[in-house]
Amino acid sequence: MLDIIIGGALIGALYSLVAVGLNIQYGITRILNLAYGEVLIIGAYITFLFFNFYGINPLLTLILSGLITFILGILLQVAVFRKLVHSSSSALELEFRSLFACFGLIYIIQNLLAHIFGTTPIGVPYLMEGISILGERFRTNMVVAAVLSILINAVVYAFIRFTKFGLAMRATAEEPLGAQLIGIDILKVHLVSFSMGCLTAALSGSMVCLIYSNLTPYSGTFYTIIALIILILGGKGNFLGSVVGAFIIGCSYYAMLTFKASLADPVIYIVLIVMLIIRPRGLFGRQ
Amino acid sequence: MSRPREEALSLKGLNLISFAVLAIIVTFFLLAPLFLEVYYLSVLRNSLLFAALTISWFFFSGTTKYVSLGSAAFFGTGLYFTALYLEQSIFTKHIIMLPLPVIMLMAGLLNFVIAFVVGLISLRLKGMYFAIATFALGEACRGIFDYVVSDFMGTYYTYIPPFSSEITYYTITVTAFTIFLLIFVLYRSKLGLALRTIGENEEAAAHLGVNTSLVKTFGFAISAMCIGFMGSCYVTIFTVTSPKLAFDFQFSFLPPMMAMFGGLESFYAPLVGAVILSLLREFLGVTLVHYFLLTLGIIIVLIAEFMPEGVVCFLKRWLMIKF
Amino acid sequence: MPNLLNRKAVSKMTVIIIAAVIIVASIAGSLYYFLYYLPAKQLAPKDKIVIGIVQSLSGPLAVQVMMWHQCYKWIIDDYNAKGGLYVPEYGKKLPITYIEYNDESDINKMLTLTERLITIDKVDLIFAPASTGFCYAAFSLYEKYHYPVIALTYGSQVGAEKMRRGELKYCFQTLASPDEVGEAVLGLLNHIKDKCGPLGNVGIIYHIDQHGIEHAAAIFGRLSLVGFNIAVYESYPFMTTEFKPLISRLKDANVEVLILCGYEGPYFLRDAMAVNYNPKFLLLGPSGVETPGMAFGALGFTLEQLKGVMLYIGPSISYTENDFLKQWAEEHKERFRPVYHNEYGYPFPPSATFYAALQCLFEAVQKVGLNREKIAEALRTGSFDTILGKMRLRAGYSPQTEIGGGIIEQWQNRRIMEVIWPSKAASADVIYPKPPWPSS
Repeated sequence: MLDIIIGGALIGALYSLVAVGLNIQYGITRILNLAYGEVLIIGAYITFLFFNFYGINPLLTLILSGLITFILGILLQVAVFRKLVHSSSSALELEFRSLFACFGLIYIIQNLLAHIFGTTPIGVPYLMEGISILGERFRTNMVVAAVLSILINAVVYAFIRFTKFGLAMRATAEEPLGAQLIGIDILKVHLVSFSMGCLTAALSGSMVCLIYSNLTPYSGTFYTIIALIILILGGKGNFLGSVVGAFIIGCSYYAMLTFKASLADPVIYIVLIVMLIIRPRGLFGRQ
Repeated sequence: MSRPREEALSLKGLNLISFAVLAIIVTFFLLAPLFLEVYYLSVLRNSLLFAALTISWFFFSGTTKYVSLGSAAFFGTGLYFTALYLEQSIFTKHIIMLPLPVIMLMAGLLNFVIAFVVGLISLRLKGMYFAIATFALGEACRGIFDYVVSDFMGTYYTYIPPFSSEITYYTITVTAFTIFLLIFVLYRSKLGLALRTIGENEEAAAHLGVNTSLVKTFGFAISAMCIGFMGSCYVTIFTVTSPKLAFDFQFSFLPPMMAMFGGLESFYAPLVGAVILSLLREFLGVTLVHYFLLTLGIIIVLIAEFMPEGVVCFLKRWLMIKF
Repeated sequence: MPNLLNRKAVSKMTVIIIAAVIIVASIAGSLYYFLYYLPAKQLAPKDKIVIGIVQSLSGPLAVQVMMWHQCYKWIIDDYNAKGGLYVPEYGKKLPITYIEYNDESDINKMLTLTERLITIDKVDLIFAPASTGFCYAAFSLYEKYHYPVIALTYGSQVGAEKMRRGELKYCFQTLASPDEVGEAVLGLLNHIKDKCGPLGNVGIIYHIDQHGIEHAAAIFGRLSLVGFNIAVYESYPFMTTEFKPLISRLKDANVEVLILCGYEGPYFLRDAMAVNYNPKFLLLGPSGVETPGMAFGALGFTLEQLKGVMLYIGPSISYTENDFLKQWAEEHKERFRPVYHNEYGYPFPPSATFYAALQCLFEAVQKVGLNREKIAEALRTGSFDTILGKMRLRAGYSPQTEIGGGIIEQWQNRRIMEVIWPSKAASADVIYPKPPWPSS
């Protein structure tokens, strides 16, 4: 029982970092970024690149992957999404068009990575030894990743909650029109939020690369799915919601693996469906 | 943003030219096996398959703007039901054998019922929530079939008796054209009008007296039924299937992608868009073997940017302005 | 926004004329293409051999292609370096070229592209796609068009049974079928029992996919018949990375003989090491752990960690059987340096068998020419000179070779796995029990 809780919490902590970026992106810019997982995998590949070819310490590569994807996020916003936002006359239309554009982006990113790195699975084996937590043994890198995820989550939360720019972000998320009226530069907020989402995605991707050794250019879709599920489970735009949602997902998967492993795969989707039936706005979401 | 109203609301909207073009196209497809190589027949058949999936998806999701990402669930259910029925009746002889069209009808009905139930529950959700819910449905189906197949059936693959390529071609072609006709008729009917009204403004539609929940659920169920029909005839292409193959995610994201590629404003746009994109994928696939997906991705992003209303609608507008 | 009120009305005549022009042009173009261009292409004198390859260059199955199908290009290059393939009906060697298509891990696309290779490109020979399901689906096409194809990655019982009954006459397999693996596991366990005394509880875990289900059933069937106590028989999700819960169960059931039928070997090893679960007998399915370039590269294992870990995949060799094979292994390492990004690119255990199987196809052409019926007949009945000596393809079983034929391998003291069973193919005796995980 204890190992389910701890194991689920470790996975959940990592998944909460995966979800927070999409939460920020969708909540503030209203763009449904289906290529989110692909950005995450870019982060993983950056870690792999710098560790394998330049010998840089994996944890330091996190900084590099964050920086590079932040810039990438700005590029994507400017090149792709800004025009979409301008030419759409409603949030619904924007969702449709961003969906379509993201399909294209997914193809582009996946195949660029495949061309550059090949399709062999990559991984950075780091801190693989076991460590004991309350009597149960886990892999050290999972624990490190979980702790780092919580830290990064806390930093992001603090940024949004306590800084002036964070206030601007929250205002834009709640009431875009009103925010513009009181003089907030929406374009800058969108730019920074989207890029911040990409940054956290890449950080979680780098950590995923350290833990698992099975990443290919096509592994991104799995993480997009996880992020979307947690986003809805916790409630759109709600920080605490995505953390709790991630914890629920992590524990359900772990529990199912323990009791009936052949049902472990669909359990995440079933949890989501159940949540959508009983409480569509999520645990903490507002309608 | 003004848009010319595309359709007259009755069958009298068809004029002679459209009818002639249609007749030529249908004749071409039906007579193709006489003069085309097997490979080209397969290409045509695949494009019809995706066109039918796209128009079925469009019938509900394009009109009401409720994006469904769960087509794979219904496709796979239709496919698996048919495959299992064929296996049980031909290989293990546990149940009586029925002609394929009858099995397909049963598969379609099954999907209709499932989608009706799912729709009643999930159509309260809006926008992205509905999209994710339907996507989760597709993946959950795959996972549950995985479980059933591994714990109760002792084999992961389900084996299907082989069909000759003529039967495969005609099954898919005839089913696809039937679906086109069905959706065409329904689109121009009161149901189609109601669905489109819901898509424009759901609250206004409710005020106008439309029973939105019933209409939405019905539309969703019909859409799922047609997708199930296509899944069912997909069986004729393979000799083996598995949950991973039947519920593959491409059947969930290709119909929306092809519909958006063509445009969502009229009945013909997604249809023609799907055929064009299908043929384009095939053509690029054999000419640019290593770079084709990359190229396709760039094309899609460019279209999303510069032709947001869809390629077909964009061309139509462009032609109208030129002339 | 364009002013729609200014557009001219399109006259009906204009539309009819445009439509007519398009239709006539399309018909004329198609007629030209089919009646003049294609036949002209086919009447050109034969100056090269064309091999058609449809495989997954992108998508989830690209990994299998990357790891296991390198020999396709390799063998073509090797024969071309010697001038090509000798074709009796032309009395000379013709260079080998290939047409390659990407099926994007989509089975429908694979079938369509195979049809293209056969009916449009009219290739002389075909190399099979990756993965059991794809190969099985393609078998129906090969049988229909009478193309002899040697499938490298097909490993399912159903197709093997069909081949044994003679229902698949043009399709040949290379991998050992699940029942051959089951026999080998039984044999090895009995051998260990004779050598070291009774064995503890057995656990068989398998992934939810055809490979896992079939192999687990084959092994379970044979072990339970002779009285091994199978304490755990569980399935787990395909490609899952979390094994801790399952390992807890194995620990609780005192499983000392663990057999994992699936491709998740590396993830299991990681969790087993972290949790310090150390079974005395650990047998994994093919997963990259058997490929040195992956095992010591991307997967990051050390030889100390892998020592004692066993794998089932056959037919395999250990590359120490003769000098030629030792040289072959060194060449493989150099050749695959850019693929694995490290210097451990030695061949995986069945690598030479795959190469030799393709050699059978090429040697058959050199013996009987490019007539595909004759090639199929030769493959069914003949034996061919390959790098593993005389090789004979057996319908529904793994090929018979002079050298090799191992099915279970083990990591011991060098960076290529040792074949340990069957004994006639073994290069070393099994190490039992498995040494404990190295600490840290």
